[in-house]
Amino acid sequence: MLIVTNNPMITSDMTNVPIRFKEIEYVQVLSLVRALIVDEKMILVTHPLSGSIKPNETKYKSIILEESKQRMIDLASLEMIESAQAVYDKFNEIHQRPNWSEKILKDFAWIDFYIMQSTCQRIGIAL
Amino acid sequence: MKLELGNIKINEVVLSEFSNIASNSLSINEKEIQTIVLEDDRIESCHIEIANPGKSIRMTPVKDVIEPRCKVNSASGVFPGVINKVSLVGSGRTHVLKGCAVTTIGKIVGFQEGIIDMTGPGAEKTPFSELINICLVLEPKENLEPHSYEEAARLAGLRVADFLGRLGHDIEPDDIITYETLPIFEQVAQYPDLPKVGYVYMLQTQGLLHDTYVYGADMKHVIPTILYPTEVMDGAVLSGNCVSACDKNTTYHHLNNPVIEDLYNKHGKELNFVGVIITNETVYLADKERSSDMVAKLTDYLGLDGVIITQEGFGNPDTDLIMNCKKVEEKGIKTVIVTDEYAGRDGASQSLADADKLATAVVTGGNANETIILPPMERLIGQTDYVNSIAGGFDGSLKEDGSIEVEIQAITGATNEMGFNKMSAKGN
Repeated sequence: MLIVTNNPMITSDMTNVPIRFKEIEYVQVLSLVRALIVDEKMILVTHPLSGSIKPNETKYKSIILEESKQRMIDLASLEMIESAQAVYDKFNEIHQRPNWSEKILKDFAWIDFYIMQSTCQRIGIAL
Repeated sequence: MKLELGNIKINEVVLSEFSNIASNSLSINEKEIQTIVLEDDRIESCHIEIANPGKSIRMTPVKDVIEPRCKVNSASGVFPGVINKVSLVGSGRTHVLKGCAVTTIGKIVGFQEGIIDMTGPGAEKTPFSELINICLVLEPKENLEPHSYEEAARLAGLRVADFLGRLGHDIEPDDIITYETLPIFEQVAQYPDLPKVGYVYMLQTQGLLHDTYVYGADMKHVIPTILYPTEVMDGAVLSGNCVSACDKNTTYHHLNNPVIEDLYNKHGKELNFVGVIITNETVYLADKERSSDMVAKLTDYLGLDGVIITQEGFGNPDTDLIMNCKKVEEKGIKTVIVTDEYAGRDGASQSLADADKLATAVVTGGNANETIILPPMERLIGQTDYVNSIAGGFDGSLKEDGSIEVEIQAITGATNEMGFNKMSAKGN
């Protein structure tokens, strides 16, 4: 498994699953995950639009993937990540994410962290 | 299971020296309420403000709205497993303080909580503008983690609603409505010629700040199961989340679930309302498969002819909604889904994050991207410094004159996905 995230609160004391942390934008997390699905044939484990927070609101996004036993692109994962990218584009067109204060950014980081924490527990990969 | 719901009409709420109900007037001793709330040492302070319909009042940020209720002459209490001991509810008699609500106000995470205006164009978008809002304005202790404060605020609202509801225990209700669902074989036999209809009730369960509790159990760990519809009316299902205001199912929505209400209205006339299947909306994709498989299996097992499916939230839950719809349809059972839309300002964009050709019957609660200008109000309960950060707000939302330009997703209950709002069309 692999956690792809741009949330600095997602750290290795949460899980023993490898974490690929990058200081990138939300939309770039989606692109990176899509590349992993296409190039590395990885499969989505969590929904890319977790949190019900709009992609033009939050800065942070964490997504869990797993390796495939087959060397084919998982079409369900590809469809789901591309839907998420389309949702991002739609919301970004309406209005772009405001330049949030540090406090608000921290709140968004908390939300993403809590969802990942609950999900890691649910999957059974929490420490 | 048979429940008598006794409605006590509340025409007036006043702060007073004593807490009681007399002549349809609810008096509240604020100190008593503060004692109840401050039992939780995570809360620093609390005060009550009353917001009456039609007045120039804005409430924000609103967390939850709760209708005061109490069980009458029963060993059980409302909100079982959370405020009262775990005990089956949904039968006997319940008294309801109709026309008022406990509204918890306080910023939990700096966004996601909503706005309720008591007059003007914003008031027309939310059903809560028609209630007397007993606002519980809360301040947390410093440095409290958001999820801990969410829990403290949630429990405070429930404890106060429970306390106020109990004031109606010995009051003769203005009207009593009886709801009854029989055990499955008897229920099916009661109206053998009518179509058997069930309700698939999707509950928000994505993680902390996005959870729903059933008899106190965290619903994301529960595989779909069956409830009698009346259990919901006694608070078996509780909101514990901070999804955006417009499509959050508050505890008030759960207690007054309009799908259950309307199915009962048609029960024995046009259809046979067989029961409620509760399910979750998780982040883990394997859970989505498992839960939607279980939902479809239960609809088939119950021999249903038709199903109504409602959801809560945006994005991730759209996938659960479509999976439920598709798998139930594949069993040969007709579905109608109830949702809302994020279709862009002009309403022309794709509405949901997921779709399927089997989802042919859809009821929408409205387009959450629609914008609205909320004029200034004379009185503010809460604080507007967070309006820019409320879901649906954007840079420059709060104008100098106090008016706010926002998407209607900022208004509590505006596009509710159970259809408990004012934008839905209603047939006869």
